[in-house]
Amino acid sequence: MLKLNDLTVSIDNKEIIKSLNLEVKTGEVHVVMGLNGTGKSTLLKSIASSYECTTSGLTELDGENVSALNTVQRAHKGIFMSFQNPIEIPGVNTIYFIKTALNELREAKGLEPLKAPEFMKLLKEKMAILGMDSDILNRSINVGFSGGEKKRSEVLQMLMLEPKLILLDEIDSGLDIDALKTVTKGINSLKSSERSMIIVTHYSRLLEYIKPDVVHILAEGKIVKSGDISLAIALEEKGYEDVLHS
Amino acid sequence: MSCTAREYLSGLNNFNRFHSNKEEAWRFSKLNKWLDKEYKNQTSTINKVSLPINASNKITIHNGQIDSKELSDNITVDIKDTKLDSTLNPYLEIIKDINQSTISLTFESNINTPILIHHTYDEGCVLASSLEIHLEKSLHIDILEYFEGAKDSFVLHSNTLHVGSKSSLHLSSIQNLDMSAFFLTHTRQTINKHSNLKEFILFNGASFHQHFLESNLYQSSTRELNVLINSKKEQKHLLSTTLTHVEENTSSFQRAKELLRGSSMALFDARCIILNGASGSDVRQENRALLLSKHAHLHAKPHLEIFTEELTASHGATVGELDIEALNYLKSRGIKENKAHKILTDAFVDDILGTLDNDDYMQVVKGLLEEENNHEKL
Repeated sequence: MLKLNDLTVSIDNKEIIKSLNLEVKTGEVHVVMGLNGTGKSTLLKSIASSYECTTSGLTELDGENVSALNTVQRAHKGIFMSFQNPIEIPGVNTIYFIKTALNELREAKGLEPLKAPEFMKLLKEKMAILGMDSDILNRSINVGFSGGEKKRSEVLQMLMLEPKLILLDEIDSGLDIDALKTVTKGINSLKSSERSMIIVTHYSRLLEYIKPDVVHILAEGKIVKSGDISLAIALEEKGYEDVLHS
Repeated sequence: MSCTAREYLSGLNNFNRFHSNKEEAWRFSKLNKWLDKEYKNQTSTINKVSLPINASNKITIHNGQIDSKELSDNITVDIKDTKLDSTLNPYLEIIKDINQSTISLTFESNINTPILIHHTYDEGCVLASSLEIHLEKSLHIDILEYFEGAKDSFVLHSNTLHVGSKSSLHLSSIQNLDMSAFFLTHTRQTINKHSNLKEFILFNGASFHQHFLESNLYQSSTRELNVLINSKKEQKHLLSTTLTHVEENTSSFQRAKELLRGSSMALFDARCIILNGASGSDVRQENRALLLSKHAHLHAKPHLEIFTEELTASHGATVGELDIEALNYLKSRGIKENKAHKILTDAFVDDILGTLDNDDYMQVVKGLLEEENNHEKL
């Protein structure tokens, strides 16, 4: 699904990701852990081609070199990033935003825009998975949303857009146990053999709900250790210092 | 016969080159440029837009004269000849010898549907138009003034507004003029005791547009002004307001938003005077500009002159570009750049359009802004 080869990423002329190599096969769930400031969010942003990243190296999606593609083009290819702190956009109605995004994606795939009744039916189905209140739809994007509502809204967009590569940046931050269960239920509903995920998290707690295939530790812009879920458990018990030097 | 506007005007009143000074050079250089353009000295009638407004009372004022009217009996129409006071503004010097008739509308009882005042101007005009609106006591009236045309024309429009005590007026002014127009407006408003004026103005079109507004507020009256300036290319918009809180417990809220494209420029000079007798007044001024081009400029001068001790007052101005983080967020969901721009621009004006309180008016304004976006794409 995704292949990164010799990926180097700078933000504001500061090199953050350094010659990183990573392969995520179709259907796999990868988790990236690491101390603060090691480049976890930057890695996801560069895969989504965020404006602040200057990137070199190769990014391949399903065997296609997408290195030169911009944010919109990568979104149309099926890359979706859930932001750690989703921005508030006053004046832009959430339902209008989701409908526009879905129809832009459909247009890119050569499909007709979804008509309002079909859209609403689909939206209600997805909201039911997340136990969301419909009030949120008539509010401006993320304006006045609680931390949990913001994360639910991110997952709702993901469920509606059905991407093939999902990038989750600390989706568990700021969530209580109940909200975490609901959000991960939504994420798990998208797990399939056709779809891959890269999840950035600080806590193995999330991995009780989403089972990863591979866990990576990122340090100073490079993947320094990879393993299965036991690596995340070891980190929780011993901390980075011990695990990296054992 | 064809001549320059300057030659035409000099025949009227020995007009000479307009003086300019350093500070205001940008205004006058624009005027001088226009004066040296070829002036056709002939008119051609414009195609008036058909407004989707359900108005049983309407009046069309063409080149400052009544063209047609369908008004109920409780609206009195009067026409009188007036003389311009050129000391008000140096621009008036160039048209001071032109005859001007003032159309006066007096409302004596309530009218439940909006009143449409449609101002149209032909091509190649140099003229002055004037309108007086009088509301008697305890009335509730909703007026839409729509301005259009004025290609290659120089127009001065004067408005006098008298809101009687305990009355309420919603006045929406959509100034959708030709891009070549020079358009000057002077508005004088009296807002009497316990009355309310809520006003919305859209500035759209005109090469140069200057709007002077003076408003006096008397005991316990309220005044809300919402202005949207939609500017592009080399357009220049100058909005200068002076609100005077004359008596106690008056309230004013001035809010302006500017969408500035190309190398357009807007100046919002918002002056608010709170006199000694106006204790307990509430004064707010807000200005927000969105620069959609690195060559666009805004000069905002919100200022308060306070002569009383007991009041609530605030003012502020911000100028910014489209939020790159918000743009990135929309794009990350596959929304294309131009669509994302439009969504954010619409969001910027959303709250000020919300003050229109009338869906039909809102659709008219949105349609004009949409047109602007489409032109921009081309």
